[in-house]
Amino acid sequence: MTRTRTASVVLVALGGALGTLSRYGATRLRPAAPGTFPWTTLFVNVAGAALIGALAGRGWVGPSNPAALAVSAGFLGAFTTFSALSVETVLLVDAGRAGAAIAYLLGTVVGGLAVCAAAWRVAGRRRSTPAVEGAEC
Amino acid sequence: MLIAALALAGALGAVARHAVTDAAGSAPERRAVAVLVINVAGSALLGAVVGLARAHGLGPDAVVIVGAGLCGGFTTFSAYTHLTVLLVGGGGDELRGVALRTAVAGLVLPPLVAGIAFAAASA
Repeated sequence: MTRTRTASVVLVALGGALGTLSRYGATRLRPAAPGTFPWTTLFVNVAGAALIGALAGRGWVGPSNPAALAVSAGFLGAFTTFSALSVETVLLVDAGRAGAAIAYLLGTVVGGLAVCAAAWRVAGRRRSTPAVEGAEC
Repeated sequence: MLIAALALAGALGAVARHAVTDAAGSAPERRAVAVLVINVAGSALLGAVVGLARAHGLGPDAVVIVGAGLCGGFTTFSAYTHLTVLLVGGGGDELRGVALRTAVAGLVLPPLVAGIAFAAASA
């Protein structure tokens, strides 16, 4: 393993541990019982989508930036989650709340994409250098 | 102790995710497919874990470590939105079509396999 590769693994691991602990902290502060509407996960995912959009708009998440590994692939990758989104959708269906399940799934994805694109545009407006078309994830 | 195990599991999940996306290469359309595969696999595992907890007595600590830690750190919503906005907003017409199909699959498949795994594990 080269030194660069070792450094990448350490950066992603550190960011990933912090992101996981932050998400878990949020779900402990505002827990949602199984089968109830998972507002906390929705908030975590939409907030993470806005942050990654802002960083991408600033051209900050390209492959040449080692800090982007820790923040983008590490922290935000682990802070946000798709497994909880999937299973909470399933548990809403299981609780007989199919309408809420669809609202939760579509609300997260449409809301997340909308805030990501909006934050990207706003952050990109203040840039003078061209955008970096990369994604560390 | 639980918090240390949770942090370690989250770090492992994130490093595993990065290894998969890295192996897919630097092209965003290939990374989008890698993220889809990651989210499907992690959702299936979490569906099974929650099903086992519900019906077969898997303990709450295991659910936190494997579920919130490993599956949560491995799967990602930020990369899904990042790559979708990048490809749908910035790509040419052909790339945009592929990106839209990947994005729709990324929305439908993870909950679907989570539901199948949950049903199988809680049977």
